[in-house]
Amino acid sequence: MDSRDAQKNKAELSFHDVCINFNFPAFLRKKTKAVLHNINFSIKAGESFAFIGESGAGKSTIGKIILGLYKPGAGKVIYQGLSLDSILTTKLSWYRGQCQSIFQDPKASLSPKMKIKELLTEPLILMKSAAKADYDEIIRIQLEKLGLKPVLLQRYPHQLSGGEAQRICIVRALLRNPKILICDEPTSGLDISTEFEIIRLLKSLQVNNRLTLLFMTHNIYLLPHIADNVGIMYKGELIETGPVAKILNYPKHVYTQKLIQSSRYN
Amino acid sequence: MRTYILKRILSGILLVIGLLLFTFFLVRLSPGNPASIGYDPLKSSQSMSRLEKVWGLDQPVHTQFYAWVTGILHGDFGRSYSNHKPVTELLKQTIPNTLLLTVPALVIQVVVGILLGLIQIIRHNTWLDRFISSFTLFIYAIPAFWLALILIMLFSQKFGWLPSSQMISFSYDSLSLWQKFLDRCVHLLLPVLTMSLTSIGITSRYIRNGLVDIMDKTYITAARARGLSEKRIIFKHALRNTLVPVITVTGQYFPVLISSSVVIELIFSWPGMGRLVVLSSYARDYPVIIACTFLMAVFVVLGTLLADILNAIVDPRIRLQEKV
Amino acid sequence: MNKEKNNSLIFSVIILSIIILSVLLGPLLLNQDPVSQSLQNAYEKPSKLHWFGTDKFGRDIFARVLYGGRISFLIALMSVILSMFIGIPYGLISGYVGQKLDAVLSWFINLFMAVPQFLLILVVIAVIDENTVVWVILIIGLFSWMDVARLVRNQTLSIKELDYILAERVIGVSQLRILLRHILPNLIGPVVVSATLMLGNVILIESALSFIGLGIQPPTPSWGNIINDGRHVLIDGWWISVFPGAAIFLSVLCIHFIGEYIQEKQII
Repeated sequence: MDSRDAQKNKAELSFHDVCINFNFPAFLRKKTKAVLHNINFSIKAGESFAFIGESGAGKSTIGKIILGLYKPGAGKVIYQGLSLDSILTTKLSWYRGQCQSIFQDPKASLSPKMKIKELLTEPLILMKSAAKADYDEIIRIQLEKLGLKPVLLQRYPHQLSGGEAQRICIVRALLRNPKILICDEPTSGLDISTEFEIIRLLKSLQVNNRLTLLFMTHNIYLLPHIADNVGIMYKGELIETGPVAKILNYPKHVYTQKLIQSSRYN
Repeated sequence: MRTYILKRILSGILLVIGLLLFTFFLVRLSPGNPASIGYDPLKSSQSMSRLEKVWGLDQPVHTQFYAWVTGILHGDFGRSYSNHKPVTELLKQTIPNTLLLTVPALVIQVVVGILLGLIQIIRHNTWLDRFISSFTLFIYAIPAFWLALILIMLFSQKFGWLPSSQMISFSYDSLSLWQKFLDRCVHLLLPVLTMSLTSIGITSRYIRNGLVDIMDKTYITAARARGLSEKRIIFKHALRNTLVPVITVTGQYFPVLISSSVVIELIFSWPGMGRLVVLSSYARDYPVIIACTFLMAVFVVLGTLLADILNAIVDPRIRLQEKV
Repeated sequence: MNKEKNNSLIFSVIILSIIILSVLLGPLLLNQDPVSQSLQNAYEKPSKLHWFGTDKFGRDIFARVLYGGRISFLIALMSVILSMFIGIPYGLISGYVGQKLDAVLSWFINLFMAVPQFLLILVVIAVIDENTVVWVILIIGLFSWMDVARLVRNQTLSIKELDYILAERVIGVSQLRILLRHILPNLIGPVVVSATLMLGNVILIESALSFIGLGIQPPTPSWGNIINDGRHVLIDGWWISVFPGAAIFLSVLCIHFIGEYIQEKQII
């Protein structure tokens, strides 16, 4: 039984030769999206995997592909043995419960004209598992777990601090009971002390809730605190992957070496 | 650059095709048969069917449309129902008159608009700025036709200074060349004044807002930090950048100008295109109505196209942005 | 600066309320009839009995202006509402769906905007040959939605790229709910401003239409056709044209001041 589980868990999510090319004319492009070249990696259930790279290297694009917000031009994404393409067309609402995300700017990712309470009720309505009468209780328990006061429920997103807003985003994601949480630069909009609070929180979630974490950042100093494995992104390519300790101590690629070196002086 | 301009021109052509369809089918909305309008009910149905034949109304719709479009390509808009003259001839008579009215109005309104906008920027947040702001809102709220009546009441009927209608006096032919020129100017004065006065409001507000945006830009702050005087900043840095708002507002303003020319030409009995439209509307003279509507819309399309292209030449950033 | 703005807002609201109240309630209190003729009283100057004087049929101008105001405001309000009902969903769909549908829908906006609005309305009224209040409302409303549609479309286009919309999609919120609960509330501000300004413009359009005789037909009074009644007696019957014109001017001015105020409050 155990061994079979392990087999199954071997790859929760994997990318096979995923590419994004833009071959339509430049004037049709709204924003310049990063191009991806032959991305291959696999992530085990419960693991924390970090993508490191400069902005524009393609980290966010990978996240958005997993979330179904971009379509890859070529290649395959496999989640729990199913191709993402078919999941998105046939089992989208199930998948939304499996895979959740938090973004770089927490305040900008909360709908500005809604109270926090409404925002937190939204995922519960979608879940359909809880009775309406229990909503308040469920929300209260989750808030408590993340160290948030119930007073916040009556506020609007612009009345929150950055750290509070990011926690609210995390609560929102957790209310859907996801297996995977994608964190796209979740702390770069926050100050240093809040940054580590959020990192610790995410790490504890990974351990306690058995969450698979995908973590995108340009800050190499966060790696030891959050990630088990790491992938280095450079100009749309995944140039190196491996356990954090191994990559940090014995970087193979020149770019990785430079990256590590430069972070030491910071 | 070239692709941008080509794209603009292409979308302009598409719009003109749309306008051809739209104006043609507009008339199909009308209840009843055009051949029955304005004609003696005692006339036999025979003469009515003859009229239908003359106007091609007995043909199927697509044949009529094809005939209409090929006609336009040859500069032929058909014949007026009411006086049987070719529509093209009527247009040839009225278009120059409309231009004589609208071009001076447009020039005055843009020049005064720029001046007012500049004064507001130089005296930003003073009483003068606020006064001009309120003033422009005031004149924007005046109905143009009412202003025209009041001006006529005062300047031509009460004081008898200016003529209230027509383009020239009855004695025009006997005047010397110089007097002829003066006569024309005098006749132009009231309609042009009405037209530009009611629209200065929009132009100057638009230009002022454009200037305010520019004055907040970092490079202006940098110029201030370098110790340049405010006037120098405005004339050296900001004025150069007003070109884009001026071109845009002039292009956008075209339709409004045409709309206002309709009423003003009617009041001042100015034999232009706008008056032609209204008179043909009274008479349900559809060929003339369609031709005028189509042409005016084509002018608008050309105006915006020209403004877009000019702006792209003036400001390279524009062609990099996707616009509607 | 702000204090002056507040003052002009208060003035505008007061004057506009006076106009609207007298237009609504005035005819009930007044014992003058706007259409009954009494030729022996023709062309009377403004007096205690006839505040705004009388016209060539001896009809009381004050009563006509009040009744005309009802019709002008009714037309303006209803056609603005109608064009909002067309323009807002149109813009939302165009901006949210994007791509090919957006290209087609935007082309239609451009097409209708190419014909100068007043001309378009005038021509359609002439062609359809209907001048009743309902038809005037329908025609003005059906040909005034383009501005709102374009505004909503552009706003939707930029809002739908924002992080919080992506976040809502990831949470699994349905497209319709995103559109109605997360995009619509965030563009309602500029739409309100545009609707306010449009209210003023429609009053101007309707009065010009009625003035040239293609809008509301006499004997039903509207501000535009009352002005037309006085057009040929500007000296001897100046009151016939001056008062309804002043009513249009004041109403539009107040509406614009209010619109301007809303706009600035939202920017700051």
